[in-house]
Amino acid sequence: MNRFRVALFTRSLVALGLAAGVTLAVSGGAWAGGTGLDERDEDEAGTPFFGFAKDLGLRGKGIADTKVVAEIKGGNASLVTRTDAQGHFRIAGFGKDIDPGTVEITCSKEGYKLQRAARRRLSNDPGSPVEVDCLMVKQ
Amino acid sequence: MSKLQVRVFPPIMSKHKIRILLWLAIALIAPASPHAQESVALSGRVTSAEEGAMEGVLVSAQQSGSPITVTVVTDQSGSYRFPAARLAPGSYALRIRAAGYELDGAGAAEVAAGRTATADLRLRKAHDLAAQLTSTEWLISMPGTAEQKRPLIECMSCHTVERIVRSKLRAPELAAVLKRMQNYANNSTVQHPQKRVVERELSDKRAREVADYLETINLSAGETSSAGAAWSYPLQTLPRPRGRATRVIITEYALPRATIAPHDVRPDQQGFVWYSNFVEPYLGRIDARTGAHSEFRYELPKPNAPAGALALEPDQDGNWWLSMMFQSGLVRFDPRTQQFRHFPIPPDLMSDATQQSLVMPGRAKVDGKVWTNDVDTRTIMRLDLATGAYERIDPFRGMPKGRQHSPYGLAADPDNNLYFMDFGDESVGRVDARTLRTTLYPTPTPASRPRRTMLDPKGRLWFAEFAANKVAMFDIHKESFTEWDVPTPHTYPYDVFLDRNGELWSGTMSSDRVLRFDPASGTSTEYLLPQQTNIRRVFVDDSTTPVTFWTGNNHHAAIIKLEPLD
Repeated sequence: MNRFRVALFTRSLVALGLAAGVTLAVSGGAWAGGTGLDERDEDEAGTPFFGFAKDLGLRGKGIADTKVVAEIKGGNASLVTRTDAQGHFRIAGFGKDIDPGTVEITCSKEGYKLQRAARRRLSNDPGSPVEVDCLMVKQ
Repeated sequence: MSKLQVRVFPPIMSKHKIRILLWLAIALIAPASPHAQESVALSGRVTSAEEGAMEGVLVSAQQSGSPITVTVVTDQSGSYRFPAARLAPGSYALRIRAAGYELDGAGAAEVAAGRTATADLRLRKAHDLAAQLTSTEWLISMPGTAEQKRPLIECMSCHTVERIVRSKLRAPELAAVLKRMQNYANNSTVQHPQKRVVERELSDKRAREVADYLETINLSAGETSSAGAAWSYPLQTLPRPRGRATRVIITEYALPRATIAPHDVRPDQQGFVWYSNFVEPYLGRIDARTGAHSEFRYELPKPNAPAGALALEPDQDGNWWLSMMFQSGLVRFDPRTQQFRHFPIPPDLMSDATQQSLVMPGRAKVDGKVWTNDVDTRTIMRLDLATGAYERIDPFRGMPKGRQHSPYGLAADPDNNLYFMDFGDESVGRVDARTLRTTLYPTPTPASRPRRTMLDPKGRLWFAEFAANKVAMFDIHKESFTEWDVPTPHTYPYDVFLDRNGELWSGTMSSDRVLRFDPASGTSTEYLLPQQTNIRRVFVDDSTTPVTFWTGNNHHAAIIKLEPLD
């Protein structure tokens, strides 16, 4: 395994850990015309998406502060987040009734062009996270 | 200072001219620091046997028969001063606030024109410290995890945490109380509780979980000490104000009924301060100069539903808009004609639980549309002013069903695109005014529960992250967040306002403190308020120097003006 692949593999492990960690950390009070004392029911959460925005010109180095948009195809709503200093992002995702295959992930950053969003599902289990790497090149 | 000015004048200048120039110089300097050189109506020193001279003690003066109470704070030498312009001649009752202390004897002063009255105040140890703790201090004092304590922040909407910790109920009884409490409307106070028309469910399991914890922090174990009730944990108080936090004048305007619950407070250009009443069908206002009070009543479309309005927002024509909560729909008030116009929710979009808690008419001139929300269906609604029709937008379609959502704080950009806070969860949302496409931006802190907001002219959305104990900014152009922790744990900020100097002001339902925070330097000042104060919307008047902070005391029927003495 060359250094580049090792780095990608390591980042994937870190990302998976972050994805799992955030999922576990998210709990607490909630409110909405509801009681306010209810807790989140994470059983209803759908597939999370995570990954990196990568600069292909710099051997896959993470690109910080990249806009990441998740959108249900044909829908009228989107979720938007940005990558952190390591170029990593995580989107908790839509409900479990949303087929992750219908969710498009795109990345954008000034000075870069998205070449391809490479995605792979970590397992076939329902709700299993989908890794999406935005492979980007400088314009 | 005067010597220096005299020295720079040419020697040929006569004494008379020098005197005139000196007066001119003083007159020019004075407006920049209106309180620094004012004559003093009442002054004194605050001491105690334990500390000697005491800094950071709030001293409040209320003239007999007046609705206005003025408060100043002792400086490092324990001295306080009321400017003559703030206290008219007459008899005043004095009270103090200093955690752990109470006034030794009755406080009173006679203020006469043209001279400074003196009232030195002696403090003694408080005999009931628990009665002085804020909800924030109770939450700091009590044992337990953040997750265990978090449900209590819901309770503060209607009452303080003290009510819970003083109870002697065991878990089964507490669980029953929690289930019963779900059926009171958000717009309830101790003075004026209101039942919901449509009941809310809290599961037995969840009620028992919360109750099991509450049993560990209340007086159900029945312990007492020589001083009376005793808790199994030490009671902690926050430090008294110091330095900059003591340089302030606070004016409280008492409203004429204890049931009045001012929620949103906004001054106008004519010297009036308007407020929404959270539990009664009135729009109220005071004259900031005299404290004189007026009320304007609107009709209740649903007489059996809870009354009161939450948000008060101006439109570009100088009208005031109120969101009518469980009465459904919006009302617009024209201050020139003093007439209301109701914009009802049509029957096909209405239920007994329909609840409009927010309104945003600020950019209605762009497209003739006013934004609001419906808490019951967790949706955004938009009113067409020309037809009176509403349309519904569901920004959470496709989102996980196990999460609560609630569009809450609203702001409109110059094109009348809507930005909203998802108070139930963790996102800032956007609705495009033309396409109605929605975008959700999750905050960096999960489960932050963003609450009220304002949009500044640079396109920065400032907001309070209620459950995260943070204030935050979302740049609508860069689509990126910055978050800052507030300095005191368990503050739970409700709202923020950015002043002309780039400083943020925030208030809370729990700490009896007003936060002033400079995002550029990260420095903050917390001004303690004279009494238990449940703050909702905050507003800063940039037209004064220094700026003036306004808010309401939602549970104790008062409008509050805070003037920093910078």
